[in-house]
Amino acid sequence: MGCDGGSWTKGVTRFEVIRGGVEVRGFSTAEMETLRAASVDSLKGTFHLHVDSESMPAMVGIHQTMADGLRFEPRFPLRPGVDYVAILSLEGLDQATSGRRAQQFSFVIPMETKEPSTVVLAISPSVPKLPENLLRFYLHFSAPMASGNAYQYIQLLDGSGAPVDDAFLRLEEELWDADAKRLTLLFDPGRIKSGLVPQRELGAAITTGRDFELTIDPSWPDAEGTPLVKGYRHRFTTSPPDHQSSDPNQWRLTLPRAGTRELLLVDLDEPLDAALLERLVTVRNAQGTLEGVPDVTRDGTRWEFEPDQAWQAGLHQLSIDVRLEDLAGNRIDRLFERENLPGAASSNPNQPAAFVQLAFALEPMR
Amino acid sequence: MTRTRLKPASLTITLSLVLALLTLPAFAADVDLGSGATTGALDLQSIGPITFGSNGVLFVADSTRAAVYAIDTGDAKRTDAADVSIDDINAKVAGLLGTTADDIVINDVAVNPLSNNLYLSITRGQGESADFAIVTASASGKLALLDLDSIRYAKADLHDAPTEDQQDRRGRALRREALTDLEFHQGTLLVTGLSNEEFSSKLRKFSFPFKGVAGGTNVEIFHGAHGRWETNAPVRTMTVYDIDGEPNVLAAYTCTPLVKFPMSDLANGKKVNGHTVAELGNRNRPLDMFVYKQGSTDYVLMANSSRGVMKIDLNRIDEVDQITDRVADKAGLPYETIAELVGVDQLARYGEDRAVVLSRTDNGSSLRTIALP
Repeated sequence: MGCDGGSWTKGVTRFEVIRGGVEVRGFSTAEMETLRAASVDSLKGTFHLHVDSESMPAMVGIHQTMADGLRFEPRFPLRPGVDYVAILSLEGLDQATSGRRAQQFSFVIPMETKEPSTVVLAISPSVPKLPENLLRFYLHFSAPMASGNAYQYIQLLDGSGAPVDDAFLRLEEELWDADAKRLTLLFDPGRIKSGLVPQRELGAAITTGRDFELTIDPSWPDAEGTPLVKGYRHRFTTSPPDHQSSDPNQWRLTLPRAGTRELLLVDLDEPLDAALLERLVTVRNAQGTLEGVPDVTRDGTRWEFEPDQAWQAGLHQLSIDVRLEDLAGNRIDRLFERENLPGAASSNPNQPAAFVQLAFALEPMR
Repeated sequence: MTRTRLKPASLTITLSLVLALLTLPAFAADVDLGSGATTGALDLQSIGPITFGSNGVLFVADSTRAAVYAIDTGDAKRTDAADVSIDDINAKVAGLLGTTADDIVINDVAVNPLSNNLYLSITRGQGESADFAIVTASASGKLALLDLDSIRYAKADLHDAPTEDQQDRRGRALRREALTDLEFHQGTLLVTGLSNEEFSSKLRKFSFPFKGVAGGTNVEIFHGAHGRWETNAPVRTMTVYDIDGEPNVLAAYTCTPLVKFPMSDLANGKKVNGHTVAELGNRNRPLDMFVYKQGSTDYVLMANSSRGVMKIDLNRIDEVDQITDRVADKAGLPYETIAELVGVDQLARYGEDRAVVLSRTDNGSSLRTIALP
């Protein structure tokens, strides 16, 4: 980011925006001596920087006395497009400076105009038919996005193009990943859970058998403040609510050949949460967990794994963490919501996560 | 995310630090922050909820780093509460940090119960160039930046095995937990968060001063609906309340129920079922809450994103039955909505008889104290 904003000279005084700070020169020898002897508080009162006008708080930063002037370096970088005013008031510092009147220098760091380059890469789940009790979408972007106002750029429309209000949980803490490139959009769980007021009064946000469209507004700024290249539309229809967990014993494995780095293909019994699939399913052999790259394809119904090293012959296990959820938040080991039966088994989050293991053997190469 | 650091200029003859700092008491003994306390630059990767412990210790949640810091603010001088009213707070805080109101977010407001100074958790900017700051406001309205470049602090990691969550197998840092609330009660720090992947409710309990860098007790919270359904639910905000001498957590979910459970239930390996004491109605997204006494009655004051501020009568909390019947919009404990408090984003207790509210107004935002309703 360029932080130099030019200079301004009046009489002997010269203001300059340079190296991210503001410098002022043109002092007499006596004035410089006074400035060098001045206390921190005096310098704060002598030379200060504000956003917009002097009525705003003085910006925090560091004052430096140079050989021929003063420098103020803001604690946080100057921001392009913001109106700044630097004020020099030597009056009253001491006799050497008392003849000076206060002087101001206004400046703006020029904005760099940037062509839009960020796009919505995908919205998942991508399967065209989604359960009425769908719990979340993931929005994937090609570059870091601005956070803080996400919900104003997201709209759910029904088949007639009318907005579906209050569909999503509007969280003050937007659920971005650390790079701000993926946003998790949760449906309001109060409209999904049986018996709660929102569910009784508003019902499900997306109802079975109807068409919907999730739209992303192109004016959504990325982290640089530049809008998206274009908007995005994600169409889907809705199927009846899913109140069943996935059963890994129904998954179908297509095995690679030992000695190759062919993909291990796992066709699932229902589409599962793609983010959790990538993280919670691993492959082990006798030596431990295999390094490699997992991928989720076929609209979340297939898990693929490409090992870094060629497959070895022998026994392997597909290891599935039971925290894996389907699209409605049903985990392998328990449903999103379940009948509250006395004496039901309690889960223990402090114990090592439980796993379901699917064993398979790779034949030696012939 | 890297933080931009200022580099000392080579021309410097004299260098005067004029960062506005809080005045530190000259002879204060070091406050015990626990093992791993250190003095230096606190390099936050994000900033979210903040809350005060005792002796001027401020707890700061960093969701990106999956950690909570305890910092010794040195601000432990007892000062009486006074009325505070700062208009245009967002613009003024932004101005202090050299930017405009649209470029900052006030994530949380905490009150130092000793000095009655206000502390604001601030994010400045976006993306990789974002900065994270704590700004203080005195009763007179003076704003200052808390110097995090040289401060005593201790860190508690939220994960026993940080590497598990930090990167996936393609080196992406996808999984992240947004920390939603911190609550300190008699040596115990409670932390709630909401994952951007699995839907579960984690509540962690740390002893303070911190013992060791990792750990804390990790508990999943459930709530029942109508005695029949049981689900996980992320806790959005919480407070601690003594019922018959036993500390209980009052927790509000992102969906509507308000529940209670004894703090003693937060033991390793225990499944905690929140007992629903009120269902607060549609479009209720709780933001902040605290308990106070008026006459002989205890109340919860709760800020809510769409319903304004609600005052909930706790008088019958030990009698109210688990809500089991089909109910109208409200059930369980009675509450009223405080009509004159609208657009409240943050709410905190301030002194004995006031609250501080951060609210959106027609022409900006304001930070002010109000008499407890």
